[in-house]
Amino acid sequence: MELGLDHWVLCRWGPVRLNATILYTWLVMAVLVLLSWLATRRLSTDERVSPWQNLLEVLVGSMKEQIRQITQQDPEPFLPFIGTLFIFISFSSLLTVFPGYHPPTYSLSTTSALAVCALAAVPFYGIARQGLRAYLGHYLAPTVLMLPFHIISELSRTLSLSVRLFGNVMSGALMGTILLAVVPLFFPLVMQLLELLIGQIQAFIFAVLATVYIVSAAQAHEEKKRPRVKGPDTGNRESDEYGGKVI
Amino acid sequence: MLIDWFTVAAQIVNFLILVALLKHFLYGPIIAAMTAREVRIEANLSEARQKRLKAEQAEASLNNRMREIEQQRQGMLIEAGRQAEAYKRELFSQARQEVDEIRRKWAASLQQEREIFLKDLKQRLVREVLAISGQTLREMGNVELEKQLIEVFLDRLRLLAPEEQETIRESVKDQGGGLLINTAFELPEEIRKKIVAAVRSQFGVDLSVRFVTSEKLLAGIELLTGSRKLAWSMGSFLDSLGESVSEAFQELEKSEQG
Repeated sequence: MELGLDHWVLCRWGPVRLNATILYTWLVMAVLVLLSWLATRRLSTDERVSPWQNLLEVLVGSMKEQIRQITQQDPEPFLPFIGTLFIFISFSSLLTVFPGYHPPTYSLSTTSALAVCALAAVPFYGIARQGLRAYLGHYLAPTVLMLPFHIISELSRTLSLSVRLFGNVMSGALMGTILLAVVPLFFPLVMQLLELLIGQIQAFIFAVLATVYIVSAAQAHEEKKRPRVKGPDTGNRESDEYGGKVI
Repeated sequence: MLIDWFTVAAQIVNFLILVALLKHFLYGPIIAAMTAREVRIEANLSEARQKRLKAEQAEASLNNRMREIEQQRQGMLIEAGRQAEAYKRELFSQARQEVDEIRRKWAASLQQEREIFLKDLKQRLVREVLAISGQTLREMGNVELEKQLIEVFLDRLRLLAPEEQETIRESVKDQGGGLLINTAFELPEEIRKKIVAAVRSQFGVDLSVRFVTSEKLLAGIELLTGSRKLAWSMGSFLDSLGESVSEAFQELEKSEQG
């Protein structure tokens, strides 16, 4: 039994291979871009909005609010990356209702790529926020001896993200296949619905964890520069809570 | 091998492309629309706040105006009440004056009627007194009384003032030398001759004398020419008495009016 879709190669041009993972990813991308274009081509700025625009505004607004609650910062710089992570994973899972479709996240390569992106986003946003020198100094704190541990921490985060998402998607697909063989009627449908729910939860968890990683790295550095002020209005409590869960 | 590094690289590129596409097609327009709506709603709210502020100011102004109007209304009511009271007093005064005037006129009318009644009463009294006197004299009158009255008349004729005698004499001439003797009763012949003798000795021997009788005289004798009369009778006496009483009443009324 093969795990993932990478082995399903459709075309090959030397080292370049078009496999099912990439194909389904393009499909999801095409659907997302098409829906976005359709929904945003005639946006209304007055009080009366179309149902599609309303749905998208609720989606984007909820994501902004969620990011704001986690980061206690202006969410707009994080929105394209975090939001795209959530929407991509969520739609990859939602589209499984169509027969013959396989989610790209069923491939460890895809989840690893997303985790690598999250890994890269941490220094990207950190450097953008603090500058290159200040950010790199974070890896040497409190002593140079901590550098390997910091690097291991970053890599372990990436590994845990990718494996968690891949494991959940793969387990869902495997359980669906196995139950279809054992109990062909009714029960696979329930499991399919459960998988849809799990897919949404995983999208949410992946996006939230990526956000926490990005923000916690930046805040860990900032806390050294200014005294920590505890209180209901400071932004540290939420992130500490999430950070505590992750670390 | 679960991980295909080419696929990983391709998926990274795909994901970054998707981020860019969604940023262009989804997040950018949606956030722009939401921001524009927020700005618009904020502007509307700000405008609404300003309008509310203006409305509150207008309400306060209107309330002040209403209070002023209410005060003016109260003042006007008080003033109207005062004017109505003054007008009522004026009307009462006018009514009282009119009543006084009517009363005064009524009193004057009553007084006038009383005076007229008294005047009429007096005149009737005089007339009744004279009538009673005349009736009494008429009943008492006889030839003997007539003789005595004629004697008195003849005495007065003899004692008549010369100018009066001359006047009568001229009047007799104007009538053609005749005169008329009027008595209440038919006189005996000797008395007639005595009278004729006395008249002719006084006014002329050739004049003619004619005798007539009249009950109006009651008692007494009258000597009549064309324009003159010489009388001594109860009737003429009562006439002159009535005239004297009437003159006395008129003088009394004048003195009362004065």
